[in-house]
Amino acid sequence: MSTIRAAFWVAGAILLGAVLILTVHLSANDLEFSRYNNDWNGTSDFFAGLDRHQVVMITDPAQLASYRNNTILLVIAPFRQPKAAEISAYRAFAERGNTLFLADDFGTGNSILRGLDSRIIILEGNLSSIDQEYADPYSVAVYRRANGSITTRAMTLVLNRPAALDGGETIFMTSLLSWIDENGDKRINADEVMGQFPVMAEEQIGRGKLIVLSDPSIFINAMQEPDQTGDNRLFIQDLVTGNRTVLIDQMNSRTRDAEGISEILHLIRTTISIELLILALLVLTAVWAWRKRIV
Amino acid sequence: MRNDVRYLILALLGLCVIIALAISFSGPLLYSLETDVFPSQFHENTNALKAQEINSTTDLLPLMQDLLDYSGPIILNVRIQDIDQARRDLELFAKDRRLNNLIIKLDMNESEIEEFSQSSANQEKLLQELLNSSISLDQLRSLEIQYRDQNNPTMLTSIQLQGETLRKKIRLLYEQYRVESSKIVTVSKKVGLDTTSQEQSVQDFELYVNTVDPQQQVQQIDIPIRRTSQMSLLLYPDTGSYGDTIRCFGYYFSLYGYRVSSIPGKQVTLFLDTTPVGTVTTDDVGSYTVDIPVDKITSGTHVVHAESGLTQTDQRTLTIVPVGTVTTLTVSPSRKAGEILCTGTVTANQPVRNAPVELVWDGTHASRATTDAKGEFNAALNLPNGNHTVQARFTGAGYPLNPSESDIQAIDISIPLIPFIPFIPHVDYSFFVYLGVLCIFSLFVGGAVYYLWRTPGRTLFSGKRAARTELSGDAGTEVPAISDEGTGADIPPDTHSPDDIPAGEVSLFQRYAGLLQSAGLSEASHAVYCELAGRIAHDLRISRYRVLTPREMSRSCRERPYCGAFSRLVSVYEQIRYGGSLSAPVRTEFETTMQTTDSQLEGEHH
Amino acid sequence: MKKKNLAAIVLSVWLVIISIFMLLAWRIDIEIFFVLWLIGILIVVELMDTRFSLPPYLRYIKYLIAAGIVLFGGIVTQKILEILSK
Repeated sequence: MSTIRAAFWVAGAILLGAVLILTVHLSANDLEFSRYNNDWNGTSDFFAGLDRHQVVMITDPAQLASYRNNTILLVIAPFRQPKAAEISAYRAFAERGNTLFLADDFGTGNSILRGLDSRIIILEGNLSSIDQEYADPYSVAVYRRANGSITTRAMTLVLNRPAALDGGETIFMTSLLSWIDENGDKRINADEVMGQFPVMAEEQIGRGKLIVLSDPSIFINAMQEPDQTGDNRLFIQDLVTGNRTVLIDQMNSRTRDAEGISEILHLIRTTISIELLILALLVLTAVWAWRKRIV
Repeated sequence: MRNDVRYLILALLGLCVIIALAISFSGPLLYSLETDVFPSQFHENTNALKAQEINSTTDLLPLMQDLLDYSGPIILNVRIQDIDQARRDLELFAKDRRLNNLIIKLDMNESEIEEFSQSSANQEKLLQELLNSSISLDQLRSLEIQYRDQNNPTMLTSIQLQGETLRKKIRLLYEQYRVESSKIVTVSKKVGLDTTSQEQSVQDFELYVNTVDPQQQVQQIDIPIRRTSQMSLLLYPDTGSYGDTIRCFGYYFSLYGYRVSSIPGKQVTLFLDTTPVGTVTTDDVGSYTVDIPVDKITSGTHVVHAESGLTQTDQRTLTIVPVGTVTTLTVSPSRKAGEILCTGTVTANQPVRNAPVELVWDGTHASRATTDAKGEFNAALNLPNGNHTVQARFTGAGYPLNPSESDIQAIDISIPLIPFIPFIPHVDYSFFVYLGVLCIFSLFVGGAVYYLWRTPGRTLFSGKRAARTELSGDAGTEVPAISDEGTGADIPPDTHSPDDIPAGEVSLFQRYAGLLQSAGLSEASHAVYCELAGRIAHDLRISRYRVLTPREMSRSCRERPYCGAFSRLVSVYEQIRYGGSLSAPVRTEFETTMQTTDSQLEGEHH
Repeated sequence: MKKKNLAAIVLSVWLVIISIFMLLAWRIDIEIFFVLWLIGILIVVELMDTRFSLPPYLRYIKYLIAAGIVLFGGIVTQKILEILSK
């Protein structure tokens, strides 16, 4: 009988381990830029590294009204047309002396920029360059051209399939040997012109400023790895640390994407009271299962 | 090894696995990287990309600057007549393929960098021709002095005319060099390179050209005329281009006083410069005609004269005008793996016949082909796997034709795993592939079916379940399945065990009573049990019922009406046989249950 | 020790060894795991099998193995198609 009991414990332990791993697997997803996506194209590492005391998730435009100055709002990969209330909240937020940081390449960033009456435009087409980090001309290395207020330490960034910008004051731009790959064949063709293209630009709005980066992919897990060359990690650290509050837009951002069960599981994992409740239930179940033995 | 120790080891191993898996909580990885790579429209998976850091400032621009700086010293050395140094510098220039390799690696064949590289390569060729022309010019100067001393007007004329052609060629080279240089300077200034050396080289080249071919100086050709009135020569036309035919004709005659008489049958040889091009015999009226096709004659001015013995005609000037050519190239894959067919034409004012064409692939490797009578060429090239570029070049050397190159053709070579069978016409293999794959999958399905069938004496799906028996925990006895066929030997006949009283008309109870007296209750009860078990096994078609314990036997007859009585008999039987209980109440109970079971069994059989 | 207990232990040890090697190589592939499991269970069942009788613990496992063979055939054909498409 002791053998059976021991085998039972072993089987139970293995089962528990399998359930835990299944939970982790189910709570993840493979949606692009999602904060719940642990894969290479999610932003789970970026969100995991945020300081909870300093970071606030914005789910309603009215939440922006209370921030006076020295606050930065990150809008990462917007996917839908912005509502009028959101645009006016963004503009008011910037005019009060705060910083609005928009990272977008092929989404609806231009709609937000038009709503803010900005001179900055995100151009169409994949920006490519000979200055590349990987065996792919879309892994563009860009260089700082001006001292912006957003970063002091990052001199070079490695981008992943960026777009090009037009307008504003350039902070980061590509080398001379870059081009916009209009036909998507990753080669420079006779009708594609080489030149320098800006990728990060700044513009004054009221007492605050708008900063646009034409590549939200610097926030994905694959670009956050420790062996990543370039100053990407330094740049993100400068963005989210410092003596200021960091707001992250969760109204119009792909980072909030989640599928049904993963959202539920994420909620459970992040809410301590629910975790305690589940643990208590498990203990009660174990007690009930062994009630005869106890008695 | 004890059981506890075994399970402990297993538990430890399982724990190790769980701990190791727990480390990967943040990144559960159920599939390897190869299956995890999916196309995303927003970014590339950098984990799957090979790291290949290329920085234009350190990798590309220095190579371009090196190429820019080569030509200046070469032209300077040609100017100061340091031919050896110029040759050495030119060799270094020609060998430098680093920029070409980088362009191929980065797949930038259509970029301005490729134009830069191409212009640089053209400059190298122009400088090579400049060097050769400069050497030839020096040689001609020496020969001119020599022939002037020898008073050889024929050779002198030829040398001087050749010299004039060379000077014109050098001037043309300068014009071409200036064009290529301007292209190079445009691209270089755009990327911020230093173009001083390049611009200086153009100026040096101009100075050199003005030195060797000062255009205001008129060449004085001093030819001591040696008139002969015994043979005449005329050319028609005296200017031609490629493909034309120059008719040369004249008369061989002698003067007697005022009378002229023609001389037939005289052998006349026509010379183009110093090379004989035809020998004819004068006809009855003393005339001769030779046609010179303008084929492999260099452009420029040539001297034509005829000789017959010691008699020579006056020299006539023939001017060959160069024409431009167009080279085309078409590349197509051949039936053979790794081979491509290159076809094309070289055309001037008419197709260029029997001309050498150079097929250059990937900018470095060259192969030769020759045009046919229609100006077409065909060649097969064997190329390795990968992307390649092919270009056809016609140099025009030895022809009164300008050089030309075809457009660069790109081709992708992929050698298939399955070799192409050449004598089978090309068919779509995908149907056969899918058929083959389906056959392989069917093999596996067949294998699975065979695996289930192969156990001898067993059907694919058993009929009745053997679910009537349950395995006790430590009993260890396995219950064989009830089979529909069941061998005849296994199913017991109505009676017959060794302990039985032989059957006759004696009833079970009587047989029991007899054995009770002779052998005792235990043996009698055993005999009764065996008989009843045999009858039940026959009824239920249980093979090898003897391996079953009495309790298992009683469980196997659950659905039968005699089951209850038999179960009670079995429990008493166990008390007698295993418990050793031989008291009278036990015996009475046994007999009662025996009779009940027997009568119920009899009823079942009827 | 009874055959069926020994079989379960051997199979478990085999799976644990495979898992450890996969973790060490950091190459966790469910298809490889499945194929190795199938090989293990085939060998174990072949060694355990009796000639004339069918023990109850082997009755249904043979259907499982047959299903595994069919799945293995599916994996092989998928790999063949992948190679040919390259």
